[in-house]
Amino acid sequence: MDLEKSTRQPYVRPVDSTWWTKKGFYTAYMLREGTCLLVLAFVLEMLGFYIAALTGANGLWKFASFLGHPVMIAFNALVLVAVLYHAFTWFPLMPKALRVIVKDTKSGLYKLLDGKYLVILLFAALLGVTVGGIVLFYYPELLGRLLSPFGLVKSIVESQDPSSMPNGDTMKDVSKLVQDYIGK
Amino acid sequence: MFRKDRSDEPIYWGLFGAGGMVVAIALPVIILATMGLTHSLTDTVMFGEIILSPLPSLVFISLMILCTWHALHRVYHTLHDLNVHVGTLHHLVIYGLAALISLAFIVCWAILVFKNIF
Repeated sequence: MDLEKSTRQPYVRPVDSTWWTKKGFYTAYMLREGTCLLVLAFVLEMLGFYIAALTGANGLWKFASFLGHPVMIAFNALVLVAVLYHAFTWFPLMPKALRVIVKDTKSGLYKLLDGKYLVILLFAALLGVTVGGIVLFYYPELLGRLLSPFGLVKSIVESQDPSSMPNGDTMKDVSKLVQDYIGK
Repeated sequence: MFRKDRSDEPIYWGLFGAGGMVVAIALPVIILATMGLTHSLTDTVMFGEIILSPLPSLVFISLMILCTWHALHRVYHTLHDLNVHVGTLHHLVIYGLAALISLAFIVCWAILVFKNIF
C-alpha cells in the first residue's frame, strides 16, 4: 500500500507484456511464479472435499470419484510437477531472501552455512517426508489405525443407509464395500 | 494498516514464506494421496479419516490456509510483472480472497466437528 502521497505523477517505464518470453531466465522466473495458480487450484479442490463431506457419505464418494476422473488425475499430475518445480527453486531461493545478522554483519544464512549444507538438509527432509508419504500411501492402515480414536468418516458412513446410494459405474458395489469397512 | 508509517507487508511475507515451505515439503505427498483416492473405497475412507477428523484436519486445514496465502501473495506481486500496478483495491481483493478461503476452511472444520459431537 502507498505510504506517502506524492503530488507528482510517478514515471512508469512502458514494458512490453511479452518481456518474459524473450529470455530463458525470465521464462523460468515467470513459470516459478505461475506455479502459485496451480497451488491455488489444488487448495480449492481440497476445500471442495470438505464441502462435499458436509453433505454426508454420498457427497464424499461422489467427490472422490470426481477426483478419480482421468482428466482430474492428469490435472493433479500437472499440479504435482508445478509443486516439485516450486520445491526445486524454493530451497536455493529462501536462504538468499532470509537475512540473518551474525556478528553485526548482514552475512545472511546462505553465506553462514556456505549454502550447500542448508540445501542438502532441506532436500533430506523433503526426501524423508516423500518416502514416508509413499509408505503411508500404500499402507494407509498404518496411520488410520493410529488416528482411529478421532475417526469421523466412520460416523458419517454409519449415518447413511448404504442401500440408498446411487448405482452408477463408480458407485458399483459401494454399499457392500462400506458394509465390509464398517464390519472390520 | 492502522498506522500510515508502518507497512503491513511483513505479515503477508511471513505467511508467504511459511506457505512456500508447506508447498515444497508437504504438498507433493498430499497430491499423490489424492491421485490414488478412488482406487479403493478403503483408501478414500482412510484419507478422509485423516483430513476430516478433528485433530488431524486442524493440521491439514492449517497447511491449506498457509498454501492459500502463499499463492495469493505471489499473485499480488506478480501482477506488477504483468504491467498491472497494484493499488488499495487489488490489495483488498486479493488478500480478502485469501481470508475468505481461510474462513471457508475453518467454517467447514467447525461444522464437521460439531456435527460429530452433538
